[in-house]
Amino acid sequence: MIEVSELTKCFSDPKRGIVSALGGVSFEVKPGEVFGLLGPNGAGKTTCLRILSTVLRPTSGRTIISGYDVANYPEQVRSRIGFMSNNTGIYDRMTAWEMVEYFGRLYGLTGDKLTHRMDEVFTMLQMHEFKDILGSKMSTGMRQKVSIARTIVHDPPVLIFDEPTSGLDVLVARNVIKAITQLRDAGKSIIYSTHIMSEVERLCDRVAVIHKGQILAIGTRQELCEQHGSESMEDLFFALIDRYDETAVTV
Amino acid sequence: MEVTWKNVWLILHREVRDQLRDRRTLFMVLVLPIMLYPGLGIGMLQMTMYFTEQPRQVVILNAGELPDPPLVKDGVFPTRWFRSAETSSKLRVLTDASDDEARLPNVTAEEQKQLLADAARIRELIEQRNKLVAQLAPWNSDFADELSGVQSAKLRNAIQSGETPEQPDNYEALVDEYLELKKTIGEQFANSKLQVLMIVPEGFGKNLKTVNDLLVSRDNDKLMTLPLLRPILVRNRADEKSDVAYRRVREAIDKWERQLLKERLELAQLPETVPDPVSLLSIDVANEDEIAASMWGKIFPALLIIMALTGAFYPAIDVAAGEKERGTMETLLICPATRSEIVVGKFLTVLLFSMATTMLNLISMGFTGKYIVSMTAGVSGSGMGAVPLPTPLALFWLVILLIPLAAFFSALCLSLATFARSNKEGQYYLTPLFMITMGMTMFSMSPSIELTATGGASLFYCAMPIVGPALLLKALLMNPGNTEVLVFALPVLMSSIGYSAIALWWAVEQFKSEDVLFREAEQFDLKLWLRQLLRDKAPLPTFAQAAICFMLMMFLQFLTIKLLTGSMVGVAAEDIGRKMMELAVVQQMALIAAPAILMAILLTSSVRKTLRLKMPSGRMLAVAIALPFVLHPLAIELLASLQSFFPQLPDSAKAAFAAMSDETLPLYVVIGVFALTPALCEEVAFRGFILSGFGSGGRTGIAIILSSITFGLIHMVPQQVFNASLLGMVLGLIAVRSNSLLPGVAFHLCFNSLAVFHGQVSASFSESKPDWLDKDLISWFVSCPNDTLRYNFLTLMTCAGATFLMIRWLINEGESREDPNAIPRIQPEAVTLTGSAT
Repeated sequence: MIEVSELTKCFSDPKRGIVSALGGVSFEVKPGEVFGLLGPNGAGKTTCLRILSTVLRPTSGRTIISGYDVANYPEQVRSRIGFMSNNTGIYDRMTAWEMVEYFGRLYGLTGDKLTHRMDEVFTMLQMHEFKDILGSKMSTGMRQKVSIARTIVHDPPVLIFDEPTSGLDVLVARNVIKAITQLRDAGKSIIYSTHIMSEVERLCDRVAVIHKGQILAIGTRQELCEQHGSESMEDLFFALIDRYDETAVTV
Repeated sequence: MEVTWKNVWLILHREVRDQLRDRRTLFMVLVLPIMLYPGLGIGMLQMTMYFTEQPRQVVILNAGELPDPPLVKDGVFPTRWFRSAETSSKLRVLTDASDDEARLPNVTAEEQKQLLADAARIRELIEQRNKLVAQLAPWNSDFADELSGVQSAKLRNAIQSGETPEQPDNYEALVDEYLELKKTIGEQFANSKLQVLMIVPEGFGKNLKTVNDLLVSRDNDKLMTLPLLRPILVRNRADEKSDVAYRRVREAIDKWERQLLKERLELAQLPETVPDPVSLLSIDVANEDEIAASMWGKIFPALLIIMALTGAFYPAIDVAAGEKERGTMETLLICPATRSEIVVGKFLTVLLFSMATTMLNLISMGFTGKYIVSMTAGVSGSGMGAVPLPTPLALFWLVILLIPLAAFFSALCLSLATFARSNKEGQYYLTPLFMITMGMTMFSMSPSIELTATGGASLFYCAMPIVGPALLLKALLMNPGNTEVLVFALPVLMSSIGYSAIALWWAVEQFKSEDVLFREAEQFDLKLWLRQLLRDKAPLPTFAQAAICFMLMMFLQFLTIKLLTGSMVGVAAEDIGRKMMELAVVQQMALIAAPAILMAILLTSSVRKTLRLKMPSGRMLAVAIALPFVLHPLAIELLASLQSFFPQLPDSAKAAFAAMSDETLPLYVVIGVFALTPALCEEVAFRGFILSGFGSGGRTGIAIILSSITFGLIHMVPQQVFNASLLGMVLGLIAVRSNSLLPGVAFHLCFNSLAVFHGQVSASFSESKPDWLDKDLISWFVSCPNDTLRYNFLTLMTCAGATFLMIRWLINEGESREDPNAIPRIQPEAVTLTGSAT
């Protein structure tokens, strides 16, 4: 369960002064739902998700994850979410097993519970054959699987994926999507940020189109297409962005 | 800062394993120390064994003139002329005496001829030179010395008493000619293959014999006037080979001369001891332990510091900057471990490696050193016996002091490495740290810097990072039996632990800063940075700006020391006091107030808030005015009782104090210079800009402490540093509680004025002591020993009580009346945990 209301974030940039990366974003994600965050590069997706994962502090606004306010109880929030992005790398000098075990322990799992859970995750992601390979020797696909395993090892109710498939080949990307589908079916609240339309169409139950720190539209795919009279996600996306940029210019 | 040790342990465990899997770290920490020293040691031994020195070439002209016993035999100086027989083999002598067979080894007949020809050419030049020298001798005592005994003495006396004859017209030309000739000789000598050339004068042997005969017949008149012939030894001091060969030849000739002298004395039937009226006997009482201790005392502290830093350097870069570079930083940040746990875990890893590196280096170095020294001792019999390792007590202290030292470096490296985006950037940041550390180590190793129980500077050295532990260690290793220096152990440990704590706190702050963790790779642009600095102002200065303001003041003071002392030169004695006062006022305004005011205007959006320009409450002002009167006696007595701890006042400070009690100056001038100016300038700077900056993060307590320490440090003189730091605490408290600059100014003005009055009263008492001072009742309050007004028991008790009450009021009462616009304080948040279990 994720509730985000009026979230803003400002950065101080040497060139442009105070820059607003997020300008009042609100949405909600329910259990068993994949919520898509669709936007071009620099739209504010990563900033928003970093705030949800407590790595950045919001300038204003409120975010409740599993009943905890992100700003006040970051540790509690962190232990209830799984976060994966392109920036969350894996350690070169650790094997797959050690890496997942390390994070399992940091999340408070111990003993039989940990081994059992790890076995489950390794089976689910088909990772057993490379569990003793060091991070530096892994292929991109293996690394991505380790990342996912690290994200879900503590079985968190909330999962956040920030462009998890960017830079992956089709086969690996398909595996990632498959894993996320399984997680949704297990009743997790999932946020999925991307700029790839087809993934949104395949995976997301509800979508928010985000551009320049603003949410332009929010709803299920069908709702959005009907509201804005577009036939596909792609048409809808470009129509929204064009319209926003036009109004911004005229204003 | 909440820390779960389970998480710290997990992180530590992972980091250590990670480092141990890294070949670079393993190499630096384990392989290098274990291999390096034995390798170096063996290499050095091999060098000395296989690369024996090439023999140097000495040419002696007119060798036939040399009297017996023979100085040269078979192309070498016989071994009897050297302390160590080996030296003989390091010199080859070529003479122009008849036998052509006596050739130098590895030199063809051709080259040998060339050498002799070169030597002869140089002899000609030298003879020309000597003629010139004889001509110039009446005006130059160095030249006079070159002439033979009697003549030389006469000329020297004449030069010393200024009775030199008039210089000839061509004097300058002769000097030029001499210099030209000197240059030519130098070039000729350098171009030849000669290392040392000895020129024996014609008739030298005969001359010597004549002297001996005259001595035997005791014909003193003739003896005194007989001109002496002096052999000449030519060398090139700029050429090391020549210089070394020269020293060896000198050794042989000196011993040979000694022998000639002995024979001469025998002939003259004089005792052998005649040339040595003092006949000094020196005894070396150092035993082997001490020689070793002094060696370890020099090497170990330096090695310890450098290795503790090196050992922290690479792991710190890897666990902080490396983690960012490899993209695992964010992975770690989203796990439930708190930032403090992460930092402590990483810090302990770095600390572990720093200590391991240091210990391994010391052990490896110690054993190699011991082994090598004992080996060389066996070979050459140089008097260095087996070198015992430092005593267990010294080693114990070595380890104890290593802990805070390594902790300091680890935390510092970790902070800097966290700031860096990549390994490469990390190395750039840490290199200056290395340089500074090297400088401080060199400073501590200089023989004049040491910890002594009576030396006043010792306590200040103790308070310095790096220098304190280095000096303590030096003292303990050099003289293990010396328990006196152990008084410094506590201050050194305390200050070291304090510095480590500050460095660690800084590392945690770095880890909490979004700017640092998510710094994008942007180009640094000075113009943009300045524009941002001036555009995005906050009402109060930042912590860093306050620190920079202080450093700027210190730097300006440092720069102007020379300028100020320069301007005092040539000032008439009666004007010194006045001139000094002018400078003090200029210094206060230009170096202390101006930087703070300028920075406040440029860098903050509210000068009024930053400098606390606001009316205080009447009560606050009253307390600020009353407090100095009760603090003054306490401060005077405290300083007097601590007098022996501090080093002597420098002359400039003494002169300033003298000016304070100078009765010839009008009182308002003295008060203006020593009370009003500092009250205004220093308050604006330290309770204005610096305190506001240090407190802008909400930590009022730390802000007061830091502002008072900086306030102390700006006073430079140790006594003043101590005094001002204590007063700074009170002033800081007043400023924070009243949120106004005015009470501080009033306090400062009163306090300094009282010091001026105290000085003046003391001075007037030293002239004529009033009778009432000796009355019983009065002497319970004040007395006047040694011409200084001193406060006694009753005054002090009263003042201490009043001070306590007023400061308590400031701490408690003042708080409730605090202005809501004052420095924000972190309020404990109302914690409500509702609906968390969904």
